[in-house]
Amino acid sequence: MKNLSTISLFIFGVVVTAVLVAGLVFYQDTKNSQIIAGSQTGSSAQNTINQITSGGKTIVLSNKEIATHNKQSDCWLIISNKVYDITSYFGSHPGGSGVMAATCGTDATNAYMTKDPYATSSNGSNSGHSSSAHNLLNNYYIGDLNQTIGQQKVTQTNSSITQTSIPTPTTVSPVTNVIKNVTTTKVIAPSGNLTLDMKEIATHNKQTDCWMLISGKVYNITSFFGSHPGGNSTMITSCGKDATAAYMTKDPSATSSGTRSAHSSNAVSLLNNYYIGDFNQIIGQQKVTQTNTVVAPTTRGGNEYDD
Amino acid sequence: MFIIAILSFIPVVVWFFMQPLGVRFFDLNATTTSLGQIFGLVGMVLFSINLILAGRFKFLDKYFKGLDKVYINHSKLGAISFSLLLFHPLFLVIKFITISIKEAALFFVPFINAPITWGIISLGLMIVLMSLTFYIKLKYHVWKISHKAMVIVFIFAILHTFFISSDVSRNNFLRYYILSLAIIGLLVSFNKAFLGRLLVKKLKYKVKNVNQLNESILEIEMEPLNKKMIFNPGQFAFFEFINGKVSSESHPFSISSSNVESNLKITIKNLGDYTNELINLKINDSVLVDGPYGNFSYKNIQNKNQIWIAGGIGITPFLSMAKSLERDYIIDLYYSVKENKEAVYLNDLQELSQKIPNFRFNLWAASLNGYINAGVVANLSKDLESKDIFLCGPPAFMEGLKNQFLSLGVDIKKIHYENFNFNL
Repeated sequence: MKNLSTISLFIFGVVVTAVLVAGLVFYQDTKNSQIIAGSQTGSSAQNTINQITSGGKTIVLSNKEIATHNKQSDCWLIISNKVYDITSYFGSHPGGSGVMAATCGTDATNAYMTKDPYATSSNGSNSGHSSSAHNLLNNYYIGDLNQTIGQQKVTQTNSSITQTSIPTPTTVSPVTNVIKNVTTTKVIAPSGNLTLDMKEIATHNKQTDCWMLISGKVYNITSFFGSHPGGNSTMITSCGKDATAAYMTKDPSATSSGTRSAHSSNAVSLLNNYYIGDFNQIIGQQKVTQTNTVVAPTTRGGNEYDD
Repeated sequence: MFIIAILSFIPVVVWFFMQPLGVRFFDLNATTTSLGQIFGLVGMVLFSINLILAGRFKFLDKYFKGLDKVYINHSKLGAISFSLLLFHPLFLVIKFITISIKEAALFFVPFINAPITWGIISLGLMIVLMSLTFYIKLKYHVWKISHKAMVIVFIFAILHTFFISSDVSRNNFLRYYILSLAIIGLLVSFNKAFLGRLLVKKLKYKVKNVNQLNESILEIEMEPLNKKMIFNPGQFAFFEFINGKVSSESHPFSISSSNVESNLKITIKNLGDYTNELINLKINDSVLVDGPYGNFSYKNIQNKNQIWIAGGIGITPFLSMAKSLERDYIIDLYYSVKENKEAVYLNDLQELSQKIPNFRFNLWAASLNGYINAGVVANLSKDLESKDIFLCGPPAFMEGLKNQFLSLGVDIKKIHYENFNFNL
């Protein structure tokens, strides 16, 4: 048993040291690029959403599909089997837009590795991109090659500063009218942390800024107004409040669950898209880029320090 | 062990049904995060259970058939729990590595997010304390104090578990399950660490006599101040001497007097700092006795045909047993020492062997005959299969003999020993 601990401790030490050393060395490089990324990803996300939604419910990120985005005004490319929409990055590329435009709609892995747009192998004469460039690239990620992506839960990223689109597998229940409502994104708590307590929730009590508590979870349903089959007025009364009973009974004035019928399972899964965090949870703003990788259908947004 | 397995399995089952497995193990990120969660969850359950095991309860002594076994399990469980908790952040960090190495590094940096900080403090301190336990030979009482600090580790671990957004915060059953285990664990350790004197019933004795039996062995005789301890010969107890020159923590010693004598005797070989201090004991010093504990007694075995083998100071439980031996037992006692002059209680034992017809006593001096071994015992005692074997002595002595008997075809169930080398 002592050996088990020794081995575990050794692995732990090696991994933590490696990550910390690598991370802190990178930190110097990434500081600057993060600022640039932050100022640009918003439009990038919007762009991506528009393109995805215009294509219908779902898109397979096949070579064929990518090939259709071959212009500077609509530029997708593949790097190491990941698909990126770099349209909004034109103009910011230190190497100029020309070299990038040449690779739109194609597999740009070799070009990216060698900084030579016409490279046919990754061992070119030129050196590859910096680590900060890798980092920056993450902000333009749409999905993996041949992955099926669907409409987005953009609302989740409300608690983040930067807005990036998240590919979601089609196993998510079809939420056809979510995206069109999500045109504005809010920056919550631009600095420091925010506790999702009743006091905080109560400040979001308007149709234009509506949070509610349902069964111990906090939702920002602002963008759902207009799409509610039961109308807006039934929802408005619950803004800034514990809406558990109202949600359970479909009766906005309900004080206990019961009497009237509950929401459908489709509605329940729809609600997940507006999840911010658990009641009394402290959500921070440092996890911004993390939401990129939240792929599971019933994703929880906000602070993903799961345990 | 079975109960422990069930207890740690319950949260895993609950956790499994909280979300479809397809979601839990959707891709690499989801899988590693899920593993991280499970490791944390089970690690925490085992940690709680381990605090309870450390509580020195009589019911555990009975359930595990001896407090030494409780502590062996405690150290095993501790190592498993520690390893699980070490891997817990390693699995969780993979998700961040896939984003950027910087995010991953920030995950290990404290003071960014409060619950994470608690987790980091907890694990960091645990690493220090476990390293002290495993790799650095501290003096017993220093180590004991250091190990008590595990409570602090545990408190931070509880804070981390409950304030982080996780399945524990989302599922009420899981929440109360972990919470109740944690509270029990915490109460037990607080009771032990701080209220031990109040809540554990200790019997009051006073030192009646201190005999120097030879240059390194001391016999302490104690007289009960009110109630005397009821015990089975072969059992041990924890003794705490109230004397300015003897450190105040309690230590386990096996009892060398018989259960019919009114006074309690322990016989101690000078093996370290603490036993060295005992020479300073004075007559009428107060003693607090917590016991009895242990399952090592000839009375616990149905077979009345037994072989007892003592190595050095390991004679003490056998002395107690011999003095109260009932007539229908057939006992061969082997007392192995390096040299004859090292043997204590020789007269008592020889007297007993003359008085009791079926009690045979053999003194075995390694300097004359070489080390005692299972072959010698088999030759002298004959008919090994029909006998149960009791071993008491230094760990290497017991381990060696046990293996020799096993290779002679003795059933492991018939070999009884108590590991006195445990840290309590």
